[in-house]
Amino acid sequence: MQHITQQEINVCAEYNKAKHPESGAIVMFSGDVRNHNKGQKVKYIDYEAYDALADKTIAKILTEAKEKWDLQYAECIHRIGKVGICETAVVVLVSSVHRKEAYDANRFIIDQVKALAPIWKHEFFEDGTSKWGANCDCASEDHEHLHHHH
Amino acid sequence: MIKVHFFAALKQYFTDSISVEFIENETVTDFIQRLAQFYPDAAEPLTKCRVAINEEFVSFSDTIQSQTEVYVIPPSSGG
Repeated sequence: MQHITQQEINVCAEYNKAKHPESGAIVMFSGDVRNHNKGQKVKYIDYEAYDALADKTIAKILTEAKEKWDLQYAECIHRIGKVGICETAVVVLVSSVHRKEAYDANRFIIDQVKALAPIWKHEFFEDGTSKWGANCDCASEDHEHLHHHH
Repeated sequence: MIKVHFFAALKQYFTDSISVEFIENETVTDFIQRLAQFYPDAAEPLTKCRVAINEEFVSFSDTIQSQTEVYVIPPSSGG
């Protein structure tokens, strides 16, 4: 299991792995747990995954990214289990010769992982309630989707 | 029998896994509709799910073989 972990993600260590002599650009996305969502105070998020298929799905997305862009490095690691406020739930790292490919590839990878990898968030709130993540929790309506809102 | 695994919010209806009777030549679509009959409240969320068998997503027109383990995959909400 390369892309799914129960351990805390060491983003600095992951960043350092992306360094490559041919790369002039490294883009790192860290998806962190924030203390609020849609007006509710979030205490923590408990992530569940179909581990084997989530791992495979992320591997396929990384392969696709490497086919679309000339990348020296592409990695994505998603944490499962209880993730606290300010902790990293998912990290995406990409390195390339110039910044454009790195930005584009990184965006592609995180968008695909969020849409396709069988991973689910279970939000626990300060008021003692909890909720499973819905189809799409995106805050804005003006970005691209792989699915349609109903 | 077919073992069916559930994740996330669907566990509230079905628990982690159930065993259901095998039906010859049943498509994934028909299979999902059959599951919906167990818990009518789960019918709507089930329509949004994908299905995986042997660690691969399958299409809704595929038929389900006997002795398989079926994974019902709700819309992703990771990240």
